Amino acid sequence: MIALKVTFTSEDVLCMLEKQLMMKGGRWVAEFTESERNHKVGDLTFDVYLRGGTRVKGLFLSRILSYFVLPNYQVACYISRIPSSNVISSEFLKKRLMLIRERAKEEELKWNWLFLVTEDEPSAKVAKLIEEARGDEGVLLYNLRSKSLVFSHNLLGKRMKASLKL
Amino acid sequence: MTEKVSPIRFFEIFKLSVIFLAVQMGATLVMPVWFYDIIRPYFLFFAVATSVLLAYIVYMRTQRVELSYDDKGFRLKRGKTVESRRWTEFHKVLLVRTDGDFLVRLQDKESVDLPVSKLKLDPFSFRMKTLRFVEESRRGSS
Repeated sequence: MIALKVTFTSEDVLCMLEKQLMMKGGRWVAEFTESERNHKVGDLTFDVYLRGGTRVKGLFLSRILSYFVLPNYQVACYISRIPSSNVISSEFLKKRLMLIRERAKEEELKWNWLFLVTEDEPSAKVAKLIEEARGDEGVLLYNLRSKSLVFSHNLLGKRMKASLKL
Repeated sequence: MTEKVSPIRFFEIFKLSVIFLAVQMGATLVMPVWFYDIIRPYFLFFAVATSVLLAYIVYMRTQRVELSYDDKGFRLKRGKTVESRRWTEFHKVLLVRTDGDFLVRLQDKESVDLPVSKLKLDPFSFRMKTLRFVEESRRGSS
């Protein structure tokens, strides 16, 4: 019997995350309409930068419903690959979240997510750091080997976790 | 090596055919009765055939999208309009989702949209291909 082992590279995972956010579960959170690779914010480069809004585009009735029911927020999601989850510290997160907040202020982005992709299992300390991330931004850490997801326990973190099927 | 993509979107031809068929059906209402009586036995066949033919002609002249590209640049033909550009003219590649279609948007001072959904290409992999072309050509030119 031949056992096939499918291994995903981090590039495959970035593509999968983009698809999830733009076409699948991510649409329950926001309508991501633009995606850019290697996006620079300050001195940092994010592998994927997604932009969109909360107003759903659809057929006649869903457009009317979203116009009257949903808020008109601009949103962004920053996805970054990291070599190991050990590099995550409070300073590491603070730097990235500060840049994201500055950008959000400039471009009036109301909801923001920071998505980190790693190949190793995060330690309990790192997981706690992510879960207790301060601020309004959703922070998520995805392990592409075990497919586990650690997320910040704020509104945006929880909503994104609930919507994605990873 | 130049690659060429120009799929025929049969659903677009079908939609145009339905419009032309509806117009011909409507025309029967204002036709003189004696004339309608003459063409009635052949009307449906004639109407369907001319609708499909007209739809095909209109589609080929106005809506057909053809993209040929290599590592130097691309040539996009929409109907009769032709646009040829080099990858070095752009510095940013975006994947954009409009109402139901995906576009690869090439940006610099001005932007050009490559309609990947209409070309029946996988938007995610074609975007990566385009990004590689743009990055390599800019690296080569600098």
